Amino acid sequence: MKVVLAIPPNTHSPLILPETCLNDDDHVLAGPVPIAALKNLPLPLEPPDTAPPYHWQEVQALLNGRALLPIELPFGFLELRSFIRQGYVHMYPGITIRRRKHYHCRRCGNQQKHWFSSYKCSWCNDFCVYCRSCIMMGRVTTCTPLFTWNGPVPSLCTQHEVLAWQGTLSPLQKHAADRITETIISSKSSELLIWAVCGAGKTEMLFPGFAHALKDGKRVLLATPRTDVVLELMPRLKRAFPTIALAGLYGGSSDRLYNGQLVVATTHQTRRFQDAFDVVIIDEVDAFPYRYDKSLAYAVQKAAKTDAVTIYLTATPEERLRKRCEKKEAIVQVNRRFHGHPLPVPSFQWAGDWRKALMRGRIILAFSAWFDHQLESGRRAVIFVPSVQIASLLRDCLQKKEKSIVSVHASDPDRKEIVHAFRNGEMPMLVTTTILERGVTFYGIDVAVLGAEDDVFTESALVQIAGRAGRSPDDPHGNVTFFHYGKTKAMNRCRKQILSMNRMKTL
Amino acid sequence: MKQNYCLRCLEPLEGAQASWTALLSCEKKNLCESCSDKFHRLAPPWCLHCARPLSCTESCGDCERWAKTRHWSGLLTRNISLFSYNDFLQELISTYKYRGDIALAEVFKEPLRNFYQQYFTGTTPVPVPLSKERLQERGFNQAEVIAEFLPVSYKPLLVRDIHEKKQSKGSRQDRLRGHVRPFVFNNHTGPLTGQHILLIDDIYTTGTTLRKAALPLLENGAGRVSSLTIARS
Repeated sequence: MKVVLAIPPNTHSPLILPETCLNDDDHVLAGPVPIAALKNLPLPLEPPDTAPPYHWQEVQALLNGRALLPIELPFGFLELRSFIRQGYVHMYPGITIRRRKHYHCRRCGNQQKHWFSSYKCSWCNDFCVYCRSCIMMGRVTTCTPLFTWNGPVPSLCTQHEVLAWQGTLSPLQKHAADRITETIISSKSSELLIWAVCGAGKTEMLFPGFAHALKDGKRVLLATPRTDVVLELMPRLKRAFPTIALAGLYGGSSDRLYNGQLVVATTHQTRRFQDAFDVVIIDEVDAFPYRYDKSLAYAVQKAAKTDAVTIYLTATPEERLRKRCEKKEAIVQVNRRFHGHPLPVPSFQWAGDWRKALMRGRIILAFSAWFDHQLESGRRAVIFVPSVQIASLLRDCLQKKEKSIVSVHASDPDRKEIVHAFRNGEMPMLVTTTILERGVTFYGIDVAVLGAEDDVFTESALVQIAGRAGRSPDDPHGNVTFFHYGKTKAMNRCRKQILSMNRMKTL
Repeated sequence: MKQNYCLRCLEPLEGAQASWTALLSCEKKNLCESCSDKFHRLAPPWCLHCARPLSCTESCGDCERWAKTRHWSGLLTRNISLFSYNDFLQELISTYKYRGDIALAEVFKEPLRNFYQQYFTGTTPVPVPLSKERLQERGFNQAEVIAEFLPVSYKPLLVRDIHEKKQSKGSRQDRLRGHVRPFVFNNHTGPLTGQHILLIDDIYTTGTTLRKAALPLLENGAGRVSSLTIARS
């Protein structure tokens, strides 16, 4: 669409209006042009004092704390006409042009030249540039505006008691939980790093802090890199906070536009939010998408209010973050699991050229011995492999021994069901790629890695994988075996880190 | 040297370094190898009329049936598709068409030009149009973007004035049953004079849409109507 910069009669400040929302007596300053071509963009007006249009609560619920494209609106944008003219809804360009050919996608933060492309657009009958980086969430072009709410902020009602969870925290957990609560209550725009071993009970440590924030009517975001984690956390949080509006957002989830007070989202989904949350928890801050994809850090930052509290959770913090937080003394270590038992230490097992053997449909002896032993002793296990291709090869081989074995990977359509079935004990073993490396809890399992020397298994990935074992208090000693074709630095460092965590004194 | 990236997976392309092959071949790569391997390119032996892969080049059963029906016979002389509509291409086309990642169309450019020169030189390309509503929704016409790549300029001779429900959601029966006329001939320079028209579209499924589009062209003086499509499902 094309927009104009115009001053409506009886007012002084210029407004951006869609061309189709222009009245005859408006004083046009610029346009009609694609929105990115406007210079001297006006800031949003002060929240207007005129009475809002009819049915405004719906629009408020839809746009408050969000920035949506015209196609993401559940109605045509012309219905927003009076909201835009009165200043209740503000429009800003989806892509800004800084200098010639230097574009900036305001939704996902992309500034890489090769992730933009141009086409002949029939929305504005001109050549438009669009962002390819966030195309899966709808096309942002130089002629598309993002709509945000600029009226009164809805007040979330405060409640007395929101936490229904009755469990107790271990002394270490309690210490961390207190720090979290303190940070949430006390200071604004502060950060806190929780460095907790796998299986320390991170989720429970958050509950008291969440309860405080939610009681005061604050909005809380829990951003996590993986869909599986969202799926696992949703029922736990629902039980803990039964009266709170809870939304779980992941690619393909149904409550995409649902306005939760407590939102659990994959980091991609946080892109639709803007200035929405008072408390932001970033789970697994060192995990894959954040480190490589700057746009996700941008998304989380955009979703948070400027004075929001940020809390990072991880078992394997990155050096830079750790140092930054150490300086501010904003770091809490939890080096024991909630059940108080030490972390399982991985053992290394030479597997020779297992890859070559597997290509020929055979399994290396060391591994098949381990496998037979697991089957006989009836212990369930998760087997991690470096790639999707290996996963299916190994599954085919293992199915000859035990029919019920399946494999799972990121783009598996039945992924949800398979993980669920394994959790219910419907199969003795599961072959997986690294998608289940983090944040997923299975009770009483052993862990094996076939091909631990592969590059995908970094130090932090291996620590996380080893942390899948022995998570249940009834069965705290899982076995962790790395089958390898040559030890790597990552493997040694992983082992060292786990040993040092186990040695460290507890409180 | 400018770094090139794979159009589909956005990975940096290897072979950006200077090499004899890179220097001597005029072909510009825009896909990485693992992506371009996933295309299933169509070539003879295939059906003479619809490019369906066959064991020997003849007419396939579906095309025989088309030829026997009263309303539909003789409308479409020949269809040729570039690729078989496998899962990979399905995902690619849906990202292109429904998500609107127009840059992806670039991967069809080379093969499209080659096929045009090999089978359809001298024909007049006409992209299958979208209805006004659909064009407003998508912001571009996927067939028009493809038609731009051809060495000759296309003519917008058709207008689609019936807004049909999304075809990709209907079954084969639904599509075959429709006897409506969604396309209207629209030419400012008057009727055609026996030209060979080449319809351009993204997918050939049953061929009904293309036959419906051919009808008004033939009624207004086109000599023959063929079609060039990206995918054959």
